[in-house]
Amino acid sequence: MTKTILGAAALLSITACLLAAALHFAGMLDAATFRAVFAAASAAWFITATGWESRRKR
Amino acid sequence: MPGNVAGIAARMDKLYEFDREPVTADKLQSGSKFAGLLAGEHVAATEFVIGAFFVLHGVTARDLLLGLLLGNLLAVLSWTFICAPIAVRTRLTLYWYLQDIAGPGLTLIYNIANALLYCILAGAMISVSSTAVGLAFRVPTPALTDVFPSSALWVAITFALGLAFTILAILGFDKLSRFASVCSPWIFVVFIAGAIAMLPRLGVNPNLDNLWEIARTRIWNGVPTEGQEQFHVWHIVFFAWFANLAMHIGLSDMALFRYARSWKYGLYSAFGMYPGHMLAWMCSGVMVAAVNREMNPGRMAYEAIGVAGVFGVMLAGWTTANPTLYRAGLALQSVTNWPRWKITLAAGLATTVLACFPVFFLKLLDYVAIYGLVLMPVGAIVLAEHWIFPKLGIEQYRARKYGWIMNWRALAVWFGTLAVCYAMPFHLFFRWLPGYFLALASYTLLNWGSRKEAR
Repeated sequence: MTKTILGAAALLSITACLLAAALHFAGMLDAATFRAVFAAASAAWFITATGWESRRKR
Repeated sequence: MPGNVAGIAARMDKLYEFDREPVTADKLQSGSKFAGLLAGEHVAATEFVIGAFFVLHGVTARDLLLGLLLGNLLAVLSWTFICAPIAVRTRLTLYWYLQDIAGPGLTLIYNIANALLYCILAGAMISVSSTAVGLAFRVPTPALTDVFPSSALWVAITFALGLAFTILAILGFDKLSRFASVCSPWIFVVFIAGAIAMLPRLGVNPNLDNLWEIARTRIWNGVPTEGQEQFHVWHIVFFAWFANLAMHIGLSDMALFRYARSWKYGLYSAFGMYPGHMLAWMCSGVMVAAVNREMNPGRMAYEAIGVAGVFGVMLAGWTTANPTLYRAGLALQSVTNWPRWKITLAAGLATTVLACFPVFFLKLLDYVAIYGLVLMPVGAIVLAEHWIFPKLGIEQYRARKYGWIMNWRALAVWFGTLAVCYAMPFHLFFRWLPGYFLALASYTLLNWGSRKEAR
């Protein structure tokens, strides 16, 4: 269960990184906000993806 | 001397003992695992430099697209029709298969050559990471023509990073390689997001109506930077093809494909080539164009996505350098018989010293060509022995059968091919292909005499 939640959260985080770039390109996010969102989503990715990876069967 | 070589070879065998036996049917892996593994393997720090250099070499947008499509297709076909079939038939790593063909002495030379080439590549990756850390200290970027370190601060940063990467490699390869697998998808996103974020700076409209116009006039505009040679479509085709020459034509990816259910799994390499060696290269091209063609991966990523970009470049450098230091250490351990930590430290320090010289990352395209070229004849020797010898009735695996330490014919073909390639009167990028056919033909001819013995 935890593994599924972590996997989903990791997927959401990395999608947020890409979405932030797309919104910046579309002019809906200024550069500073885009960078802050990207950094936060990246941190979330590393936390959740590392948790998910450590629960994977080898 | 032969006794020494035999002793060293025996020590090396012991290190690789764990994968000595052919892979059994129950250990074969699914296609999806191959797709995932190959997708993660081809997004590295090198991609920041390679794609950017295509822009600096004045390639046009049309040539880039055609060249990358065709070159990567040729690479995928090389994995599919050359590497994977031999791997699936033997279920062995190149290390063990080469022992049967060329003897333990030549396998040792191959491993050491591979380790040294790997160290230089890892050094280039540490240099790339240094451009990211250097931003914080306002270290001037080395010029494109620089060979020696541009400042004491550059040396200090590179040395500190190299030392940190080495210590991490000593502390625990397994855990770190698992963390590295977490980094790969994110690093790929850094490329994509970085390029998307830079498009407005280049003047691309939000509705993308002028994307092709900007690509062809402001990014890949066909004008080389001063001092850089002009590249055309065939440079790109050949570069994309030989970027992993040691792995497909050189057969070192037998280690991977021996776990494949079928040789057709070679096609899964497309999952690595097209995102990593096409999309990521194009993204780094966009980023370098947006920073006025300054070859500084750290600055490219920082200007695109901020501090996260700096971490992206650092992590990309580290995730490439870490397994490289491990492999180099493994190959060299047998020669010195030192413990793993000591040889990894020595390889790491040597790599760090190399990293201080910016020439290795500023001449990365040429270095990648040389790296593939040096190991290519070994792939030709194995291919000839595996496929051509049985068809012509030439005796196979004589090194194993007769207990040779060194197959002198293989050694002569290897170094002879390199000597001929060195003298070829055309561009470095195009030399490996005639060299490959030369190695195939000369190794077959040199062994023609054993044809009668086989009958």
